[in-house]
Amino acid sequence: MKFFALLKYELRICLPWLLLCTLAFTVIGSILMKGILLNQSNYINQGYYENYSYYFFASYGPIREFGPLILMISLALGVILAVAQFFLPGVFKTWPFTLHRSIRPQMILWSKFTAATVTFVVSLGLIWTLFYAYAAVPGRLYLPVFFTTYLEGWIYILTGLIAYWGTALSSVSTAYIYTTRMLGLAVATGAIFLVLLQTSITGAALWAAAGAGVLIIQLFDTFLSREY
Amino acid sequence: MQDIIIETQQLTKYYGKTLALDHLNLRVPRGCIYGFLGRNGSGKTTAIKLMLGLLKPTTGSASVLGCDAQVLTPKTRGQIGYVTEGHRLYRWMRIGALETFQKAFFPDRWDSQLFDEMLDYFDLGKKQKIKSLSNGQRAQVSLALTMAPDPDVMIMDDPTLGLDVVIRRQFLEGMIHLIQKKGKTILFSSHILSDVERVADRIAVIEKGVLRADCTLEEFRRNIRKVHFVFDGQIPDVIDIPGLLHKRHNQHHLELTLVGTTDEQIKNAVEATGAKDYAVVDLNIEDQFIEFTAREKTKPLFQWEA
Repeated sequence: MKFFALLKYELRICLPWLLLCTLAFTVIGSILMKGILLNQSNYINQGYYENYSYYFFASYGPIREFGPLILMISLALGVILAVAQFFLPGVFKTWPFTLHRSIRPQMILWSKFTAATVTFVVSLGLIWTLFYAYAAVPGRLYLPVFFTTYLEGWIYILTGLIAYWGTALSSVSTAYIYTTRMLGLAVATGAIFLVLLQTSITGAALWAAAGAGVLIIQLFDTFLSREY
Repeated sequence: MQDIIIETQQLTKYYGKTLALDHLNLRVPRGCIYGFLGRNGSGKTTAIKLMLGLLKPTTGSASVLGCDAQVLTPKTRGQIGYVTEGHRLYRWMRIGALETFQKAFFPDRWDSQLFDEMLDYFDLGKKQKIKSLSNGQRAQVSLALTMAPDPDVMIMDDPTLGLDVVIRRQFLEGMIHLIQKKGKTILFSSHILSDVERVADRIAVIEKGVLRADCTLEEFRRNIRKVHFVFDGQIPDVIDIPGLLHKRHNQHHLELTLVGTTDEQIKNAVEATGAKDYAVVDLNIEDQFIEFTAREKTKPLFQWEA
């Protein structure tokens, strides 16, 4: 019940961004999809896909714009959510009110993470799944869409969560901004680059997990040991 | 059942090289209304946050309800009501939503009737948003949210800061309502003496992080005195009198602020200095506090003070 109350509060903070991202991704994604459907025959006739026998849905092919689109929205969402959940309570000085209650402080962090993850899953993951499901209907596109393409989209969504944890870590840090305070963002940026440089889904997922793991452990440590 | 509800031992806090709290020793007994007094920046908020484990002490320790402040259990936290400095609540929430949120953490203790009564008393509606409330109204919501779970001990950080006289009176009456409930212990900080005078039965005065007084209000009233010495000739450079806090003088008048000095000691000082006459000046508690906590000025603020 206590966790649910915290989660409800955190979801309320995330809600405007959830709606905005859902709307943005749906509208821009639909425009992209419409262009893909209309132009795919032109691309194929021009030999654009001569080296491909399938679509890499998110990064390559006639609908390559989906990759950067998911990445951009995901990174922006990660930074915005972390600022709303971790930076603004410091600005508005509401941390003491939040922390002084009959719970362990770890529960506050878990409720924030859960709310942020739900926001990512609904606003990006769900819509991405719908786009993929639409494109994967047999006969809709000239070439088949692979499942790895779908997973690639989720890797991009995961980079947004890495940005979220990195921004959160920098937000809760009490160090000077020009010193170790930026470490969270720096680690997140490095991890995201490493993820994007990978050529396999497995490699990208492993780097994403490693980056997320380091940031989450450090975030717990900083959140529980700092003063308010 | 322990008799000391809040205790600090040699509690010290440095922010970098700045000393905020210097070896504070406090003992707040059960059922006591404890006024924690000090000027702005004296270390009150630091002390309170240390008591609640929101800050870490440089040395020393604090405990509330027998539990070390640094490792307060969720159960103990649930027994402590805390009114934060400035009544910082979630601005976007409505009062009703904030009640639902707060209530979830006290499923067995929440007194909905008391909460509703307090809102009625303060003329607040549950649909009002926190961000649309004035400072005073936020203070009232904050008090209602803290009192509704029926805490065993309440710690309030300058709860009347920034409130006008009427709202302060309402707030204090709300607090008295709580006091009337059996066995409640309250520690509240303030720099407004009249507020403390109205409700506290014991006070601690802190100045520059150092505890300067820890006594009943009566003892404080009795012990801070101001005495005027009148001289015919030159005022002596050295005045040897026990409990001397401040001295000011002009050509023939010497004004002394004394702490705990007896009538006998004052008379002895009159004889020793050769004063022609003397008079003990009546001080109200506000003046006593000002005299007690006034810092020695190194230069005048205004020209006419010179």
